[in-house]
Amino acid sequence: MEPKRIQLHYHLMLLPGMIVLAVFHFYPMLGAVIAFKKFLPAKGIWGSPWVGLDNIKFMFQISDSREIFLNTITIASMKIVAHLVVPLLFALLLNEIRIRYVKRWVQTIVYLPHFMSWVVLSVIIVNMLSLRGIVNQALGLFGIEPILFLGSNTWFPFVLVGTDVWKEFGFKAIVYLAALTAINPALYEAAAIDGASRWQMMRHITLPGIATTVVLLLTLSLDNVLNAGFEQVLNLYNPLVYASGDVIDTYVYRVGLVQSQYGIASAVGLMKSVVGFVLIVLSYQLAARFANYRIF
Amino acid sequence: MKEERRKRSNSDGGMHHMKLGTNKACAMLSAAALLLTAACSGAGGGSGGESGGSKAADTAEMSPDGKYAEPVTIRIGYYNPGDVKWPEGSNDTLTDNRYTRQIEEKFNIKIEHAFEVPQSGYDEKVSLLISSNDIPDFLFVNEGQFKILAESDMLEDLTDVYQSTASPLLKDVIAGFGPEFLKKVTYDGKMVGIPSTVPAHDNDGVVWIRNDWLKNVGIELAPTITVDDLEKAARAFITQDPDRNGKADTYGIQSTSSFVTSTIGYNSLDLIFTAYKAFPKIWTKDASGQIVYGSTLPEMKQALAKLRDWYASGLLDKEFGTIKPDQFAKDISAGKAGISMGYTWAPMKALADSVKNDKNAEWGAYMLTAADGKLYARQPNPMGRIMVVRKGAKHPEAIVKLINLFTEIDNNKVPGLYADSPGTNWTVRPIQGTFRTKNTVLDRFQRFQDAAAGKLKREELPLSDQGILDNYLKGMDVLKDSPQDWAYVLYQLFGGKIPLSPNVVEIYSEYYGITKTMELKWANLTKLENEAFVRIIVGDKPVDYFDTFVSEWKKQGGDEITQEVRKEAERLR
Amino acid sequence: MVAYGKSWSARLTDGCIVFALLVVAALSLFPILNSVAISFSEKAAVSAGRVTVLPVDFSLANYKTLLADKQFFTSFGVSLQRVALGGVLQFVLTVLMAFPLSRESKRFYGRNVYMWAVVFTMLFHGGLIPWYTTIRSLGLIDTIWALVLPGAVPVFNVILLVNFFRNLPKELDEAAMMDGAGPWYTMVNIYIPLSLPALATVTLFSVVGHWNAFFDGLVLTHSPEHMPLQTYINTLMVQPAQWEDMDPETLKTLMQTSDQGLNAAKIFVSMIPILLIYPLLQRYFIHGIVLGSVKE
Repeated sequence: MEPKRIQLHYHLMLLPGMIVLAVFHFYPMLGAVIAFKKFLPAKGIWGSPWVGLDNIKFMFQISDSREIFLNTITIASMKIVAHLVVPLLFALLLNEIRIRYVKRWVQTIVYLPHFMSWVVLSVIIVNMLSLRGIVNQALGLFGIEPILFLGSNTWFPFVLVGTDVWKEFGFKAIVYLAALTAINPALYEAAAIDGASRWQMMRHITLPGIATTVVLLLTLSLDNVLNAGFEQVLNLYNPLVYASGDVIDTYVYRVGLVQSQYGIASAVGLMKSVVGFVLIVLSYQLAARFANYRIF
Repeated sequence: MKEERRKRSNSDGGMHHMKLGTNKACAMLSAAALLLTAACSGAGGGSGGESGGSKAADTAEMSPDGKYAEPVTIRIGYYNPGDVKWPEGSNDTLTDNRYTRQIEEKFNIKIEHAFEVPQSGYDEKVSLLISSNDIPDFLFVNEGQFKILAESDMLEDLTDVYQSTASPLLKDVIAGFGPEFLKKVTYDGKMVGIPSTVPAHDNDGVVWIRNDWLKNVGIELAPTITVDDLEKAARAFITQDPDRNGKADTYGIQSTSSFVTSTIGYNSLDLIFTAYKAFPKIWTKDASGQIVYGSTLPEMKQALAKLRDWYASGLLDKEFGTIKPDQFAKDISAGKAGISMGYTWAPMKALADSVKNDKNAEWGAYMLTAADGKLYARQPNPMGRIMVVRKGAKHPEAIVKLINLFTEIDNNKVPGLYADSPGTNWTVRPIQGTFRTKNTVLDRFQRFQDAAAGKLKREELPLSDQGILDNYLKGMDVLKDSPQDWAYVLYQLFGGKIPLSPNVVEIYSEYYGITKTMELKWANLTKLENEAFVRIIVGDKPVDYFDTFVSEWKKQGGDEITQEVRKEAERLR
Repeated sequence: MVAYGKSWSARLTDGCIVFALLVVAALSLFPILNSVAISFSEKAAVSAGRVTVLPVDFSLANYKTLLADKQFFTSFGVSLQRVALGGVLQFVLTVLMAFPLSRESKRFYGRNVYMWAVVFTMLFHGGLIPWYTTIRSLGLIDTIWALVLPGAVPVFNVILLVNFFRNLPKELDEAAMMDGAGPWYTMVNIYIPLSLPALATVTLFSVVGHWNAFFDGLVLTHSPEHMPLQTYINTLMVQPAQWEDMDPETLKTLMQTSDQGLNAAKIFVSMIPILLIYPLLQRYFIHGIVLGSVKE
């Protein structure tokens, strides 16, 4: 334990940030009680009447709730896995290249799609995936009949995951790239002298070197297990693919279009937070117990 | 002594001076009375709560045209329509333009924007402000927002203000929509909103077909067509290479993911439904005279069956369900589609580019009728956005005066302030709503027809319309060099012919609002509906699935809602 | 990286990797080029879908309109302002918080409480209304501070940086302590210089986050002078779900003014500042600059 006076400095360093968090995050969190109320604007948050668990029950009482939850979890889980594997793979591959300008240009280019909004991208994607679009033309070369990807419940989830990964992997790879540069080059030099092959270096130096980062990002991404990507789905879905593509957020959005429902939106948000929290705590405990590693 | 007498005579008005009979007292009293009256009638704009001559002040202020003596500032919520085209060389802005200047001159009212957001963010912003109990003094809201505000008692009572300050023209316009119109903005016997209006016949559907393609495939169509005629044309467009390029790359009938609406949409299939006398998405009366939801009536089945056939045989574009509504015009512009069902004003958005890309494109407007020769045109909700006043806001009558002014402009009683600059959209006005009569659109179409036939003189048209007539007289071929002008003429003079036909039947929904159960269950029912229809059309489900849909719909809240709608419709009658 | 034997198999692998990465880069580049090409093309060609990666019927019309649009530049300025203010604030608070949190709990009593508090804010939210009401009651609405203060502690970045700090060799701390250095000195003169890749990463996230933010701009600003760029651009494009319920007048005007080419031009111009500063930050996490080392 450090002497008290040094501890004091630690508290001081944390103070400004904690004040900001207290004011703008913890204090508004009290307002989450909206989830248990029927919100009436004139009465404000505190004056609105309690409805107990009605708002939360609403999500489970609609006839499609099973389908919607299933869609959400499926799409979100696939995304979590894909968003872990693809950026990592990309970062590892990029790391193997030594030609500077190739490295820098490739990295810059793959980062750009992150900036495009789904409203714009969806137009491009619909065009590319249309029956006469590029993808189906390419499939035609192999003699495959055109597939209406955006109208097929089989393909739609994959389209969602695929395009989302494509859009974000460059951005997500940056964290891995930064972690890779932090590995001490002396380790590689020593291994080269010992005659280690590329793969051996990868296994014994590179991967362990970024292990903590990978585990951290995986854990944090569990927070999104009920977030299937609202903006993306909203811009790409249509009634043909409601069965596989309608997710919690899009459903709540459509309810809100008829009449604002802040109580329900809040309840859904609360539910997502609780699930995410439980998963993260579970992961933390698992890592602590079995790997003796504290993720946070 | 003298003072005492004067005091006594002053305090009991005129009585004492008669008793005393002195001329001096008389004169002084008269003078005092004169001074008092003069002072009060000159005030005019003071806050009406003053004693004495307040009656005179009230009349000036509350009159429809009255100008305030002191400048009055009103704070109103505003959306930025984006990409505003002001006239050449002007320095006008959204806060300082011909409208705001005239308003200041005429009424001594200054307009401040409480907030200004881009147009498509407006609803979200307003909803948030409502929920935080933070609305500006004056605001346009939609019906859902209006309901919340009225029920939360956040609105000022406008009953008296409307009576005294609304101009006769405004009252006429609103009365022209029937007594239920005002009832919809009345809560607890108090009028708490002023509705903007949506004229009829702006959404009547037209089938736009490429006449040059019809010629190429040897088909002649009368201006009024049936579903079979349309089918013939579509089949020919797919099989007989109407664009003469040697490739089978042309479409028949296209649509989008918004393929059925409550009136008409871009490339929507609504006209097919109404051609079978089916009225989806509105409340209508069934055979027994009871109000039911149009989408659940048996006529829908016939329309769905026909669409299903068309899809299976390729007449209906196989990817219609995935096309985004704002991308509907791609194949039209590229010269690969020759049939488009949509608004009378569709040329502005869709057809202009097709002509730019191919000067030979000729488009004609056709009316798709049911078997009995009538076009059953579902009309939109006559109530547009509602102007509300926050409870406790000062000068509620000010907004009525502004609405009076714009009602005059909207109904061509005074010239529009930007008549010389047609690119300047009406949305730059301080009041972003229009107050037109039910037949404004129809009248405009009629005037054009009359002018084109020589029955009406050019000068009798409103200034902004004279230019359009001039363009029409130039001839459509010549006009193609400026496609936007060509499109406007096509809209007003060709598309506009359709609503004027005596065979058009106005269909109104029996109810346009939101009931209690709808708030939570309507989104689900709409999803059920859209999914069921599209699945039937693409062949995923058989036509008889419609019956399953109807019973599901009723079970999942449809029956409950139908009861509520019937009650509400009664209440508003 | 390391110079190991340039056997032909190694070169083949290198070549394959480079090829794969170039293909990926090309895929990412396509929609960007498409949008840029659209912005430089004639409107009729765009609506006919004739534009792929090169402009068709080259036209500067969109850019001329853009330059005449004062609101675009006002919003551009607001975004620059918020990036500068917000970016600096976020950087300072991120480092200030990450350093004490990277101390082990046995050295810093209470560290776990702080850490979990931070994680908690990442997961739980009070919802839109409480957040908005809090900011409003502080009088921040319609000021630049509304865009800068509420998000001043980027918790994800903080957690990321904590992870990086924890991966630095413990010997550094011991050496510093032996030299009598206090926590501030250690943080500024030892940890910061050694974490440049991580710092570049969180700075990039910070800058991009501020630059791309649009929702807070919509909700927290009232007047156009305070509206940030992406709020302005984003709401020029209509969300698809709105078509169904829009009243006819709004629909008509929106359809007439929405313009794919002009929007593409705006997006492209808004990407330029990021592209300009990006290389400055990129070199830190591509190559890493590890100063000094630890003597075993």
